[in-house]
Amino acid sequence: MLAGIYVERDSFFHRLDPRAKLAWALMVLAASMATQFNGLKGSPVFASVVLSLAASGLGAGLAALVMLNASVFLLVSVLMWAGMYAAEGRVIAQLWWLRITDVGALVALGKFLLIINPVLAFAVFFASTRPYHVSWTLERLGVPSKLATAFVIAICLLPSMARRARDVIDVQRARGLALDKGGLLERLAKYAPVLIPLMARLIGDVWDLSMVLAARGLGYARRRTYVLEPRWRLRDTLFLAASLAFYGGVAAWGLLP
Amino acid sequence: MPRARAVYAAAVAAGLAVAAAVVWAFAQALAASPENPWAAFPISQAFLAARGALLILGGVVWALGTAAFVMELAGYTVTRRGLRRTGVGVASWSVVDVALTALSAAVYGGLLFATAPIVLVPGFTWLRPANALAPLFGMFFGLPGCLGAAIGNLIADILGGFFGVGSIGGFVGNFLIAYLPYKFVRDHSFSTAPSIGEFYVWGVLGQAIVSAVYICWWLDVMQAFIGLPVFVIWGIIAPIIFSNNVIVTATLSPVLGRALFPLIKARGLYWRDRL
Repeated sequence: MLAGIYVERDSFFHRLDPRAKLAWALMVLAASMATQFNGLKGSPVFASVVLSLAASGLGAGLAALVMLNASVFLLVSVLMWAGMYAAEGRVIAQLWWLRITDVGALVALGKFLLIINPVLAFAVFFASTRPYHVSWTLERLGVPSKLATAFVIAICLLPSMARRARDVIDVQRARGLALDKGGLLERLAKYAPVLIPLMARLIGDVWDLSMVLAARGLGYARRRTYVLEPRWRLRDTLFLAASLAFYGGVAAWGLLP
Repeated sequence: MPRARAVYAAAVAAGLAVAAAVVWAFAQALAASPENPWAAFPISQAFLAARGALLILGGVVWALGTAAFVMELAGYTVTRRGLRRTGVGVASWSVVDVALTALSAAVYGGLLFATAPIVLVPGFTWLRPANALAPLFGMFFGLPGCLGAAIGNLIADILGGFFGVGSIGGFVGNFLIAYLPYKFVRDHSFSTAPSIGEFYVWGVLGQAIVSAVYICWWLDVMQAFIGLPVFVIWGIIAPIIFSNNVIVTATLSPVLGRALFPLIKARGLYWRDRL
């Protein structure tokens, strides 16, 4: 249960130091922010992130699934941003009341990549880094040990909590709860039979988790100790330098008028 | 005593009235301007019209909110007698506090993923039932619950595609949603008039205004990095944060709080019992 979204593989990304991977994910975010008004300039970042997904051993299937889900974001992005830039640039399409211009389309694509690039980058980071090492990295960045542990446990428990929430919803639906019917207040009130069992489970889990943490000696020392600490190697330096050159270049290109 | 009861009843009525008014006003705005209801939505207009004042007020709210966040985590709080040590800062947390933070964050983040948003008006805005839990986490679990709400929202941002400079505002903003009722509601049982009345003041209206102003002030100040136009920040995002928090917490949180408080207290997890 505590594996969370980590996937055991022996890939290039799995062998990198977590600090290098976190710096890479933040560089992807920074480059995506710098190119958010021109999707064309942001596309090399997107290509690099998809390549990283493959290099982390997670497979093209997952990338395709993520991109399929992301198409909803692209649609929303086009509807929202193309509308805002309808008066600028050359009209390339007209969908009912929506005028899509070349400027609007580039902004919409840039904003879409601003959403999807960091999601994929952080998916690579969390899927290729053991929770144990995520906690170690956060501590190295100055986050208090107890907070880092809480954050990592939360990340790890998230998939099972989401599954549990869906299970409760399914069970209540089988009992006749129609969450999508009725007026606004009626529909909101119907969530009480979903939220109360989930909270009751949380209450039950707290003592179990506390005992696990106490058995592992959490809080015994001010600073948590680690048996297996990642070591910074030459490949991490090279990876970081290459990332810095690539994303720095893309960001500079994105900031140019 | 009857006067105090009348004040609490007025607070509940005000909270529910604001929630009903938000729904009604948005329906009217949609009827008046189907293509862009935000332009006709009175709350959007109010936020946009008051942007100059909100930039000053937001700066004060941001400074106070951030100071409260840092001080509380460091184990200090402001009282009428000045700065005092609370003894519940992160450094003095027990394993139960760490477990409460982690599980609150996982439940909050997991629910944000798993529950489909309720569409208030098709295609335009929606309500997140999970938001009803954030003030309750603070009131029942104390500081670990407040931080759980903040971390849960941050995780949802990271995995949901909204992580960026704006997430810093969202992190502390969500902390404040739980912190205000934790700090200012004296009775957390939801079984007395003061408990429910104070919840509607701090857990419904107070947190909705503070979180909307805190988050949107940060987005406005960081506009160069985030790239959102002023109309989107104050005309769409601020009304969505305010409306969502008011409607969900006014209608759902008291019901959940009344049902959950005895369970939490019986299992020894209520923060005052653990001090």
